[in-house]
Amino acid sequence: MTSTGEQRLARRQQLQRALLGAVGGLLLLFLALPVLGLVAGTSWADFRAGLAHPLVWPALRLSLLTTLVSLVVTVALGTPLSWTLAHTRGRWARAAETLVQLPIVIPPAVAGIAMLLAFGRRGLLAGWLYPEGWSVTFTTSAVVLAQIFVSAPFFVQAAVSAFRRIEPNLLIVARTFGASPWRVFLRVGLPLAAPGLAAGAILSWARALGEFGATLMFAGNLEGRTQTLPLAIYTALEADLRAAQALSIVLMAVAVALLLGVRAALGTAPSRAVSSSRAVSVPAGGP
Amino acid sequence: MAAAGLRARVTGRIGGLALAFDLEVSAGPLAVVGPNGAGKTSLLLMLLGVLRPESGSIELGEHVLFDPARGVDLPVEGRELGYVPQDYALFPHLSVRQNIEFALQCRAGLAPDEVEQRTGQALAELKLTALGERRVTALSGGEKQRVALARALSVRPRALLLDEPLAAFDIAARRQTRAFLADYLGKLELPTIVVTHDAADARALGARIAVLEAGRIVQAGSWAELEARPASAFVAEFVAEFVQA
Repeated sequence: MTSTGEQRLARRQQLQRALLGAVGGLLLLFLALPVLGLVAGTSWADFRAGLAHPLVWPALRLSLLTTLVSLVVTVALGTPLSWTLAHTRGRWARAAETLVQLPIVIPPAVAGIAMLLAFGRRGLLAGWLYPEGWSVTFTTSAVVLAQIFVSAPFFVQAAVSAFRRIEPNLLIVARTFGASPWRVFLRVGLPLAAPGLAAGAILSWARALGEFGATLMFAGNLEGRTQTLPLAIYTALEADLRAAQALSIVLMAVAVALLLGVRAALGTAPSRAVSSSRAVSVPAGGP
Repeated sequence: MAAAGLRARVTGRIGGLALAFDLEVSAGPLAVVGPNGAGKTSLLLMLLGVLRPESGSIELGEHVLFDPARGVDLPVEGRELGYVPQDYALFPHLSVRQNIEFALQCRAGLAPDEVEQRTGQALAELKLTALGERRVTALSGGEKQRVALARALSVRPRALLLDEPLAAFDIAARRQTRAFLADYLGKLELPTIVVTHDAADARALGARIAVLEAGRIVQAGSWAELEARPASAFVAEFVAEFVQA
């Protein structure tokens, strides 16, 4: 091939790469604009005034409290579930795995109705769950339950894939030493899956923090009791846009911090024992 | 003291492959050779209890590991077999010493000072004492293999299974490691099975050689016997491969 031919080929390849980049750039721009709008559209004075709004601090406090509780419950129950799902074959295990992923795809509003019908005053379990005249709905506990329902699947999904990425020979060898299932789980499974578990926990936390629809349906929007940050934003929007903006920026800052946390957690995965595929999906928020 | 022999006669089906093998090994390693996909690793996994045979029996001396007719199918944890897989399966989050300690801690009824003492013994036995605090990810291939061997033997298994112990080495390191393994395994007095696809490895490591083809053992005997009367075209080719090399 002549050198001009090579040059032409190189130019054409460059052009095609630039075109692909430009088309993809459109989406990037679309995703960046709202973030930019939020930050650029809020002056420092607006932000400070917004933070002083009476809705802000109770909502922030409640959001942190409820998401921490739901995270602890999700990790405590979700880790053994994920370990079991990762190492059980058969139809029932696959069915259980699909069931666990269901809350990811059903709309949060539908989740709220479903939770009312399961745990509400006239729900499936009401007969033996509650003393006469009491119900979990419209309490802080209901906020936590709604958060667990919508966020736990993200943790379980990440944890199952983290456990599955462990080299099977490591588990077989541990068993040849006579290791009990408990010891294999604690000393081999947990440490090797730790980065994936941490990433899953952070994603799940982010999803719980943004939870809106199911909470509104199942727990209501009661200031100080069930009004979390997203609900406070919704309420503030009706009266004081600045407070809504300030709250949104706070929530976004937390979300960015959590996202960076996920990347850091996955970046430390030991490369030998686990494969490099990062099968973690990002939570879908919103009502 | 001669160790109790390992005897396995089993049939089973793994994916599309029907496995049927009958093998016996006492002191002096048995090399199991065969082409890719012949079922070599499946054979090891059946002995270990990871894969379940359909019928037959696996015994270690008086110790029955698997015999459905007698209602026995010991789990992996109860078979007391040492296993060194091809990738060594060292725990990457533990140091050399911790890898061995972990194995010993898994054995019920060992006091902490006994764990410590036997870890030291196992390290010294395979000249690993100086590497005790190293992370296993920082070791050379030969060192990793010695750690895996030390770890497997530290719990005093009833038999030892090695899967392609030399596959990960380049030619120069391979010759040296082969000589070390031949010497070391030969002195163990433990029923030992070494799976390999390489003629030179089989000849050096195996006191006897069993040839597996499509899930069946087509011939078993010494290298000289295989050479003198190859039972199949593959055996003849396999033996010739070494002579050429």
